[in-house]
Amino acid sequence: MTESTDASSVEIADTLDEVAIRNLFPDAPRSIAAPRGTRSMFAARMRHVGGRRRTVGIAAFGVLTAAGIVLVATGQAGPGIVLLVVMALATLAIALWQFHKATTEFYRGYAAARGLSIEKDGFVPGSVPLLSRGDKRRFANVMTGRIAGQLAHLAHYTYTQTKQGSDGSTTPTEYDFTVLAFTLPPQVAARYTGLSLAPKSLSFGALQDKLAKDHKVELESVEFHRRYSLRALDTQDEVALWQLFSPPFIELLATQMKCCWEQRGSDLLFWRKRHDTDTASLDRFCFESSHVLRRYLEEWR
Amino acid sequence: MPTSLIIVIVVVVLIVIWAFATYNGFISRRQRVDESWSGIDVQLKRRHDLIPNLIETVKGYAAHEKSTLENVITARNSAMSAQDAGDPAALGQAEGVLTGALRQVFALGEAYPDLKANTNFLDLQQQLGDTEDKISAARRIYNGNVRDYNTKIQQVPANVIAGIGHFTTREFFEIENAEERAVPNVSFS
Repeated sequence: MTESTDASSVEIADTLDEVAIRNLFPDAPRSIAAPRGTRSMFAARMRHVGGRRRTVGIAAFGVLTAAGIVLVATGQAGPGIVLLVVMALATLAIALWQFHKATTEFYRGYAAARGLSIEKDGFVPGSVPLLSRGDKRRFANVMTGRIAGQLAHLAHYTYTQTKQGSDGSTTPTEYDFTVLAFTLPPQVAARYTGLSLAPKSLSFGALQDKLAKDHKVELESVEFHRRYSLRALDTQDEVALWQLFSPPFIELLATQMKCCWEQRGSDLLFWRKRHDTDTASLDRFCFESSHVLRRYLEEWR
Repeated sequence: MPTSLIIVIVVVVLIVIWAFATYNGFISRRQRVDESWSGIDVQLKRRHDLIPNLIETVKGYAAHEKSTLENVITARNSAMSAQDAGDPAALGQAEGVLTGALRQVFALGEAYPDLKANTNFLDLQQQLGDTEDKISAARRIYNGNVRDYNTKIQQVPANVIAGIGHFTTREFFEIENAEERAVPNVSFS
């Protein structure tokens, strides 16, 4: 991985090497390798359950349990089968608890290897629209620390949107995100009142512009607009926005990265529409986001 | 009322609505082009205003470089005249010449260490660099708006309304840099 001083003229490789990770996480300890079994949440869970063979055993046990439950429910089961079902349910509860422990272990391991601290009941502060969507919102695995030299919060975020049917029934839908939040210095925030970059989607044109008090920005790259939709608040200084989106930066976003973010004043929030559950994905998400952050800071300096 | 007459009236009403909407679209696009041109104008004026200070600062350290300084003054005057005329092509050419002349002035910093260390010179260099960045961004905004406006004017059937309303295509603003186009003169002597 090569790192250049200019955030907009960098080659981004698929995997990060040790130097890139150290630059990204300045407080990382001497060993940046995530502990064994915590490279991905799946691996961590397998390790807790006791290995692949035992997991297959548990799965087979689960199938037998399901058959037992059916027999008990239809009244065809003797006391032996009832006992088996009780044992199986207990095993299932233990397995679920182990899975939960594995999840905690994975994020603890990752945070420790990257010099971040994990916060129980933590949350990501910010005034960006994504953090106020839906009827209910929750954060999980909130990690705080320095990323690319700036204080950052890395977390899983879920908001729930409840839809009401014509018959009065309600259907909640959950939307999962991995988010990374930074606070921009006041001088930078003064230049950029608000903008958002999201994957290209349907737009309601002028009506949406009026309702959201923002507008679509058309840059000169066709490739960029094939991927993204860029919107800016009506109060955003247009020249500053075009300075931020310099041609090399547009090229980088259009060809090498898939980075989405929302920014309102000093709040800069990067997001991915999924919960990242492995070390490589989390590292890459932080790495790509750090390039955009550096671009903001470069324009100020 | 016969059905055919109703259909004709509906079609005519729809055409009138479309014509008004297209005409108004042209007006707002032309407005955006004018606004973005004024954005360039502001930045160019700022650049022209900074040059006399730069000349005064350099004069104190490099009085022998009279021809270089005169080149800048001449280029600035031409650029200001082109700006007053509002002709993007002529202005682009004049600004290109001015950029080249300014580069020569900044290169003097290498020959005169005292000038290079002068805070006023450094400050002006930074301000002019910042203004050039802003001109570049404003130029991209303007060219984007011109592209959008010109495309709309040339599209069928909107070009009919453009013809009736006397909407004509606008010129793009490109700063021509003679130095970048010139073949470098390499001397081994």
